[in-house]
Amino acid sequence: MAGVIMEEVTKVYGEDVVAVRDMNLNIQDGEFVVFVGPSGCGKSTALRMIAGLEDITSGKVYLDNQLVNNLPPRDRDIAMVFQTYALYPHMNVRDNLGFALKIRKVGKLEINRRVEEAARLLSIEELLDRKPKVLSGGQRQRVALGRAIVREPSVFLMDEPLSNLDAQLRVHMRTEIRKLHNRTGTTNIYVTHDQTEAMTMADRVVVLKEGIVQQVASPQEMYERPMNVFVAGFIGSPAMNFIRARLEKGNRNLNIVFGNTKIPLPLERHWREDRKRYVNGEVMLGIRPEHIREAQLAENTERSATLGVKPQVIESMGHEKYLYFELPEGLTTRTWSIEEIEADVRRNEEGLGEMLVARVSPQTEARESEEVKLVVDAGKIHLFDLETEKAIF
Amino acid sequence: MISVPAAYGFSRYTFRYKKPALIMVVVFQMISPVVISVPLYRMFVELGLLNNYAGLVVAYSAVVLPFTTWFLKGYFDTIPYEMDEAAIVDGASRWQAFWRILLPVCAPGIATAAILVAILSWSQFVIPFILLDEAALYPVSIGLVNLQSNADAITLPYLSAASVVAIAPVVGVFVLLQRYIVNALTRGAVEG
Repeated sequence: MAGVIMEEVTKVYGEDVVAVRDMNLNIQDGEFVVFVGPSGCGKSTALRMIAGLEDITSGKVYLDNQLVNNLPPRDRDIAMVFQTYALYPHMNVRDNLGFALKIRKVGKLEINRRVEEAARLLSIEELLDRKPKVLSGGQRQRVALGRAIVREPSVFLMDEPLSNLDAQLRVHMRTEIRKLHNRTGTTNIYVTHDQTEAMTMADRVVVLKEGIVQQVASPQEMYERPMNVFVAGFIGSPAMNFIRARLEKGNRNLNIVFGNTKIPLPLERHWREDRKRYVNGEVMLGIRPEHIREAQLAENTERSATLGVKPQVIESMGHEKYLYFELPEGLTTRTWSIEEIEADVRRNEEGLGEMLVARVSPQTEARESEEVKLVVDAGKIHLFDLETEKAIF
Repeated sequence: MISVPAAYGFSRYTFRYKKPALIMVVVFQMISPVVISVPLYRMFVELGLLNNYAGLVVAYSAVVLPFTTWFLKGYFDTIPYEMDEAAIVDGASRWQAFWRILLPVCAPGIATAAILVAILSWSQFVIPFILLDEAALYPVSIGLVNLQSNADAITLPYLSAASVVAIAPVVGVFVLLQRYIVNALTRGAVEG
């Protein structure tokens, strides 16, 4: 088991394509860290640099306090699970699992012991004599995991191992991988574009965008205290709602104002920036869909503000419903889909009447195009600087 | 021995002038043996490789090399590079990854290339015609032509029968192995 340290790691392709920029990260021994971000953000490149499959343009990578920049992958004591599993099609499962040990001239008895143990751990004993082409996706996934486990490495590296599985199997394998980590205690670095995988599996999440680390935090902290608009919009499903608002001084406190709505700011919340800079100015208000509740079913306190809206679309998820609504014309609002984030669509500053989302109880009596009163929980709002997009509150 | 490592290099490595080199491989295939027959003859005279099978093997190999390299390069391209990387992470060197992983996976492609080369070589005419003088060494393609030009007035039925006998092995091989040949030829189109 070993920790991984990345110091100012940068990867440049060609002359000017920067895939990873000045990445600093300290992964503790035994930690499960997830790199997450949209396609092309540099997460796989960062993982491959740790594995030694990509040269490091500048910076240093340490595995177990040993500098490994110039060490080939075979000498790094790491094992990797690839997105496409990369099983050897001409070998049966037993030979696939034992290949790495055979290459390193481990004794036959020891190879058999480790292969049997890994097969038992992953419940693939009956598959040992089969070839990969007759296995299902989930079985191949397990074999790929088993191939990594038999190595007993210091660090597991996993590059989107679940992306080729169907949704149901993905949920099942998520827990299996996490259980495996709990059992082995090996340091695990996992790459995914799925924020749900990141949130459910990680001890800490590293969010990347365009090669730059946006935030490193536990899933809960990242959900509750995102450092910028990108992280706030990327983590959580449906994504956070953003509304352009004004910060105004009230009688005894500060208020967030948009349209006819005024939300009192809870004073005990910690301001990241000097609040005075933003008083009587514009900020970006962020509020998660789950913090906009239906008024008649929610607890109405002085820490809330009421919105009267007409949902344009109501989606039923079974255990909850999503209300899609617009605010009155003249207010800039935005929610981003993951596809838009991945396409790096710039926020449309002129966009009027963009739809917001509220997560409400399945028992709601709200109807499309009929007014419903919603309550915004002021204790859960986020404020971001309009220009820098950094969190200020 | 030459095409397979060359194809592996073209498929897996990035190096200077790779694209021009690949273009040259394709261009060389377009050169007919007829065009190079005279310089070929003179070169083999100097090398002392006339009238023996060794010279023929060398000439055939040189002629089919561009085709087999290009064909196998396409086949290697269909194998995900992650398989090489998986082997390297598992502890294999480049050579071990090539020998123990890529080569067995590529076996169908190599077999198909060998079959196609055998068919091409079987039907080769110009090269044996210029490099061989002794009748005992003639392949069937030249034997057919000689049969036709024989002074003893060979009739058409005999010539037809001889032609059928000459092409029978090629047709037989193709009929038996066509499924594998077509699979290998089209693999790049489906999975590329």
